Amino acid sequence: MHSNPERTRKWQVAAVLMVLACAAAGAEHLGALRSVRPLLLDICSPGRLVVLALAPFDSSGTRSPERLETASQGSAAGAAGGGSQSPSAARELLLRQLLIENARLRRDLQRERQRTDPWQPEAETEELAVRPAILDLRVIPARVLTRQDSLPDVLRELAIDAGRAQGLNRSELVVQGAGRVIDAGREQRVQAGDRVLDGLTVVGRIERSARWISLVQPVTAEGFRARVQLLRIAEGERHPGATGLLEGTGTAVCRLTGLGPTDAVAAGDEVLAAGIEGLTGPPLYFGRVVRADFLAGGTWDVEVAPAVQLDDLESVQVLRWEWLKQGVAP
Amino acid sequence: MSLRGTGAGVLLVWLAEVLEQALPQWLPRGAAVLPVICAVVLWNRSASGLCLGGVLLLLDWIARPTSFPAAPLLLPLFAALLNTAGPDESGLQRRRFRIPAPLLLPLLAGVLLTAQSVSLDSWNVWRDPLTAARSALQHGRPALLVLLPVSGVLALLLQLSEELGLRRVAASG
Repeated sequence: MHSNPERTRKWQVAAVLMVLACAAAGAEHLGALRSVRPLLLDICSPGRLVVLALAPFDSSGTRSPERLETASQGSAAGAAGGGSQSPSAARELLLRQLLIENARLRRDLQRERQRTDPWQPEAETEELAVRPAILDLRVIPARVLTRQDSLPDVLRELAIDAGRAQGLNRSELVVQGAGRVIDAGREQRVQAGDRVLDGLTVVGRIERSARWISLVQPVTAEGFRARVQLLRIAEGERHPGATGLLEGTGTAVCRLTGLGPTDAVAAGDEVLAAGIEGLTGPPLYFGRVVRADFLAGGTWDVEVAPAVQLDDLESVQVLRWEWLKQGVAP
Repeated sequence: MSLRGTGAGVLLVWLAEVLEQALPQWLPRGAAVLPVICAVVLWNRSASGLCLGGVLLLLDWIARPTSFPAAPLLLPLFAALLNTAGPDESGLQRRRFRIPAPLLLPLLAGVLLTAQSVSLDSWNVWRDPLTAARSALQHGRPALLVLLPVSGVLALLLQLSEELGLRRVAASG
């Protein structure tokens, strides 16, 4: 009988390999291969990085550095999950995370410095500007300095001292009136009439602005007026309603006037801004109708509860816009 | 298998591994490594070639494990079955069903890829075989689309090198 030694050797090798595979499966199950895996993946790392550096674009169209970052992040996730990650990639990922954290802390520090020292002339305000077309729309963040009806003496002195230090007139910085003071003024191009927001909710209007600070008139203050439109939400559908005038009463609620006898109003209707100078912009929110009585004389007596009280806020945003003399070409 | 051949085999597998890891969108898992390992095994049809390919595939599984080492288990078995005759052509001629040499590599690589796709899912999936088969097909299809042309080209290169006398087949004992 003819026996082929090479064939026998192959079967022996095959048997050994199969035993090795079974042993590897057992070791993997017991977690004994976790220390070996990063070593094996690290052997491929130089080549992998070279390939990633040479390939300008991947199938998703991202550039190489972004893909390098993605690759290292993916590898690091693998290391966290099953240990299938090289230590160098994990270190690189950690370094990137530290850099990002460092940048974030630096930004927070800068922001905090601006808050504690609002009189810094070089302090930059992080305002959000919408790319101008025919309307220059800006959202200017501001901090509420007072929540009382008058300026506290301490802040008044501070304002006056700061004004002197800056060579400003005394009268320019002293703001009087019933309202709240925020730390944004004409330096940040805040002007009287600008709306003061908390997100997309209107909490007041700039009554007067000085160079560094402004006086805010809350929506509930006497003298506050704004054109509004009612919105009824029924069964998931929105039904725009009548337009009217929201007036502050000096109490916790506002009054809605200017409604016709045929207009439909009910408690629970939402109150939104009627638009910015006739233009339909983002739906700025005022509050909700809490009482609607149709009086005998054919008029409505409607009370609106503001969604947000200015006294509850520590920071606000000032929405300001101005028409451009000529549109900016895209 | 000579030392130079072993080094070349290791280098080729390393390159395939690198490409798979660097470009997973273009080269799904196993699409490049499996054909190259099969080519290493089939290069001289010897026990040393099988040993080298089997060890490299096992290392690949350790680096990127699945639920169980299906491909490292099947490679030695199938390689030994398909390739037992080795260089002894008379042995091949005596077989009733002879697989043409250019088809050996795509066939072996395809079997290994299927096994690997199956092993990507955990054991629990196999309680419902139909779902498991669908899942394996879903995993394996994109890789198979790359694997078949790659293994075809490698098979042609193997054939060409044999025709040109570049490939030295170990003499059987």
